[in-house]
Amino acid sequence: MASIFKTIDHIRYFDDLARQDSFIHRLHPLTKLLSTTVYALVLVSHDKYATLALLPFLFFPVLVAAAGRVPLSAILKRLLYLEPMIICLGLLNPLFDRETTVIMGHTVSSGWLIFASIVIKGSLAVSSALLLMATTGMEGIALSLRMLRVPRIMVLQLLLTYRYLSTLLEEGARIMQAYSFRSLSTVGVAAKAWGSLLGQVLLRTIDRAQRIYDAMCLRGFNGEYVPGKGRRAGIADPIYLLAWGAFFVLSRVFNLPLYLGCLLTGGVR
Amino acid sequence: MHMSDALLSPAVGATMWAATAAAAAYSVKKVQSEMDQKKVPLMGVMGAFIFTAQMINFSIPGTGSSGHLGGGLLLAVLLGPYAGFLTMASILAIQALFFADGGLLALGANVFNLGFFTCFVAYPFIYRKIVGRKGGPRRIIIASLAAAVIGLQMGAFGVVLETLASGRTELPFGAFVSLMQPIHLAIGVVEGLVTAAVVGFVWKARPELMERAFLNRALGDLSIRKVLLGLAAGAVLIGAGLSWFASSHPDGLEWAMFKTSGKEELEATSSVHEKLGGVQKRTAILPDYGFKGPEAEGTSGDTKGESWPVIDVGTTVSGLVGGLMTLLLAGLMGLMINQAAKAKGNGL
Amino acid sequence: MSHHITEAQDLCYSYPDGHQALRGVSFRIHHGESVGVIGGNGAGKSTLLMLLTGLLEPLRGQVAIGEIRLNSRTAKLVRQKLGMVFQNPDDQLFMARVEEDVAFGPRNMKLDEAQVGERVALALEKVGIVHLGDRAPYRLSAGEKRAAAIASVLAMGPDILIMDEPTSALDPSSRRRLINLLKGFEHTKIITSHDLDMVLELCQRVLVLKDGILLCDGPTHQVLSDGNMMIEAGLEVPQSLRGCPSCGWKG
Repeated sequence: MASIFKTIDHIRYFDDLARQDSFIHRLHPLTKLLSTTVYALVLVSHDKYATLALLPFLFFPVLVAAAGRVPLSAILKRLLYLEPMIICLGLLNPLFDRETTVIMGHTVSSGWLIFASIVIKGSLAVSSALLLMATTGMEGIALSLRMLRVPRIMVLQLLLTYRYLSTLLEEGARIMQAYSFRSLSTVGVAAKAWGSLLGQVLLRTIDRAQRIYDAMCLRGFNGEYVPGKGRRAGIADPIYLLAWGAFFVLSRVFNLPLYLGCLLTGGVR
Repeated sequence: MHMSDALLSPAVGATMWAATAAAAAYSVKKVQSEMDQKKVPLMGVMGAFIFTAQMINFSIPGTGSSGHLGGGLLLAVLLGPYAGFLTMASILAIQALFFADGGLLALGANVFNLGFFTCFVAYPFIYRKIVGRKGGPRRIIIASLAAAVIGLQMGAFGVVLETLASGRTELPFGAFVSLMQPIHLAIGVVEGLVTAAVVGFVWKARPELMERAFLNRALGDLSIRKVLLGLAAGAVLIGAGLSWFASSHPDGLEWAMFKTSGKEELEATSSVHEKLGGVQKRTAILPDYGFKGPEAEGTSGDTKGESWPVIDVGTTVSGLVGGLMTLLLAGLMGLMINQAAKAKGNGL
Repeated sequence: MSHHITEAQDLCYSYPDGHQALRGVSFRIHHGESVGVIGGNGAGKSTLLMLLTGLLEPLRGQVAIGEIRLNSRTAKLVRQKLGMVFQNPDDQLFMARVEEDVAFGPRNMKLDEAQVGERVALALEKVGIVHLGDRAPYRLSAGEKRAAAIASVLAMGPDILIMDEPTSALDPSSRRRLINLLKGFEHTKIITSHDLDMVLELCQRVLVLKDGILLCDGPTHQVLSDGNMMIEAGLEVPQSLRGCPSCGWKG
């Protein structure tokens, strides 16, 4: 039940973040979706041993968070929650891969190298996805999806699922509260009640869907969702997109930290 | 298990996105053409319902532990395969966006693993075949159990294949499979039993709802032959896509774009080196700490790792200093922008 | 605003499970009238509203709005004249933001974006929640939700407002605000409610339903004071119409 409340809080908190105003928030949602997608693509295109070369990719989340007024704690909280999962996935590598590899004149276990690479990639990918939501919001995403020609039926469905998430999570929390008051089990719902507990909520949900459909019909809905126009892209959008794109490709092609290090220490051949 | 961005290569991610997009486009067509528009709000609200149901702990008798519902099969049973698939896709999309479960690139793979196998294979060919025309509590239990277990086994195997094809880990196939499949057997059993309990409840309380789901003609033309053909076509497409990527970069299915840029890199680095060498004599802070490391060449790190070509003979010190400087720079710029934004009051 | 008459003739409806919800109900509501529909639980109030809006089709009898007879072909036309406010605003506010929700109807009417914007602004202003346009529905109080739901209906420019239990789940001050708001509307109003004091204040006329039959149709004050009839309908005379035992005032 605690997890339901946490989920409700998380959604509402990110909804609030997305309603802020900043340079990043004012960008067109599609710009943000595209830049985040390109970022993720270039990030994961690095091979499994890449570690040092991944570091410049930290710029994107850090700068977007700073300019988009997203508190680091918002990202870190979720990141820490997901980190054990990422670490577990990564840890399988040193377990199975006992070979060593030589980098920079040192012998390193290649398993641990992959581990580091996975953890860095995972953390950066998670941060960038969360930042997209924290600066764009669900309606922005819906707007971009429509511009990308995603069928309206899917967009409307996505919006409805998002809209009723809070309502149903609250209902779920209430029913679990009522259940836990009357059962002494702390592990979860007993097998006897599996069907009736979820089933009751399900039936109410189906009835609710009927009422929502009625409400939509009464306001002229006939199967076709008519979305609003949304705002237009400004001059900042292509510049933003190009600048980041250039930076990503640059960081992908050159191992920038190593160049920087060489420059500072004179380690170039 | 959710597939994660960290384990995925762009080629595999894009391929799975294409496969999922194709299945979704077909489903949209079906949903629009042959069913009542009433289902759109139902799909929306059901998505929120499954999302909520996923958060509820179900204690597993005799084990002292608890499990969760995934919901793919329940959606297929209640909404039919097409609407069920689309609903699952929107649930996973919200999880990827708001909770960073999986990730944006992995979303295609996740929808395919958790939605496609359940809605288009396990539901029509296992669940429906076992339940038959009449239904009945015992048949529902057997059908749900079989469909959930098989659907999840296929999904788990999908994760294994996608991970291996991506080449981002060194997990041996055997070890990975023997880890994933048994875990998902347990998950599948819980999924099947909870699904059966809910379906059984609805079947008793509101039989007309189940009848409506059965009468849903959406399944009328979904023959085994069609699905097998679709699967075969998909496999050929995926195979062709992957081998194209693979052949353009024999090492680890790299993205074609970076194969070419890799070549440029080799050429570029030599000239950059010359220039850098000149600059470095004047600017180097620690000029004497550069250790040349030609011995590193020809090692596994070199041949495998594309990020360590040519200049990875640079020194540990250079690497560490460069890495630290990068982090520092990122942090500093972040702080500066943050301060500037605060000073301006209303963002930049 | 054109002068519409809402007319129900011998309406009958039974649900698929055999429950007879309405058994021959007829009435005429004139333009600008405010009519309360009251009755115990299961008397047929909600079914009546569903029939009036064309969400259900009567088994017998018919509904006419103005000159148009309501059926599945005319439903779309008729619904532009009727606005229905649901009992639970959460069922009605189905978009993620109040403005988007209010814009849903006008957009379906294929108005251009500028007109949609005008209608949204006007509707929000009418119910006094201009400042809430950017909010998500779950961030609203019960009273604000109700106001938003009314705005979403007003944006379509209806002549007739149909409301199902508008004051349920409202605290006394939100309820008062809602009553004052509704008093200011010139629309024809059809309101179902158990809140008899609100009906007394807003409606000149009431229809009393019992077991799917129209038990009584008359001026509110007179009907609500009829103790025997009210008890028969599963209701009771509101406190404000009862005599005062200590001072002897007779209501």
